[in-house]
Amino acid sequence: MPPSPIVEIPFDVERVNGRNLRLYAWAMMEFKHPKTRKMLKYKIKFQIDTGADSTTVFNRDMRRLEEIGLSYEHVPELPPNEWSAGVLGERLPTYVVEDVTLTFSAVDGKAHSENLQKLRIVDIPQRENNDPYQCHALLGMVVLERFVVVFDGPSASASMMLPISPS
Amino acid sequence: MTVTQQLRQCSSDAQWLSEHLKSLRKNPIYRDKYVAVSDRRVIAVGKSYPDLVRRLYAQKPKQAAGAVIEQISSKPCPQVL
Repeated sequence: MPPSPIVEIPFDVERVNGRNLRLYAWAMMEFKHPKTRKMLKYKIKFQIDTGADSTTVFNRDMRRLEEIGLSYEHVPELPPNEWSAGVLGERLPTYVVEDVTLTFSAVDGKAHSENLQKLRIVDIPQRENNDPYQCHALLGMVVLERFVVVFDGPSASASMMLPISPS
Repeated sequence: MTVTQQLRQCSSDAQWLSEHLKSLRKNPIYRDKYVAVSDRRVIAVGKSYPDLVRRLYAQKPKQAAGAVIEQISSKPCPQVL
């Protein structure tokens, strides 16, 4: 039996400060502006985070999204009991955009899209010794659980694969 | 340019930036500045994020939206976990 064709999306593997490996994936994010309903398109770099439940965008990308007309006041804010938690467990103001399409580039050069019901947008407050603009968006388990994720540490390569059922 | 070509260009520019971060940090022209990278080279430098965006859109309006932007901080990225 021939192997099933698969969709394979490669991750970028970067070494931060010459030490720790980080995995990233680029995607074209598309969604309707919550107020104007105009379709917005934005190229985003996600850090792969198996420890994150949801897929989240932070100040860093909001700053660029402002260039195409989206700001915090356009996006519905969640009630405080549904806010995302920071590393120290503190609750951070969280907003949500619904019906987002993420399009990735597969190894064969084809586009592959995944739908995201809710994209969280977190506003990290500026504090001493904290630069909220350093944080990349996180691709969390809500998307990763749909794929087979492979991380080959010794050869510094990684990807996520989606088996396609034969028709 | 197709979506996948655009994403591959961003990925290539980000990889270039990651590989050259050390030397950019050492160079006083870039240290503690914001840079925009496109086609694997720095196309604009600004002393703040709004300054970079203003310069970028004025000088390279066609590449502005697709450029990869990064702060070349002399301080290391914070250890999150």
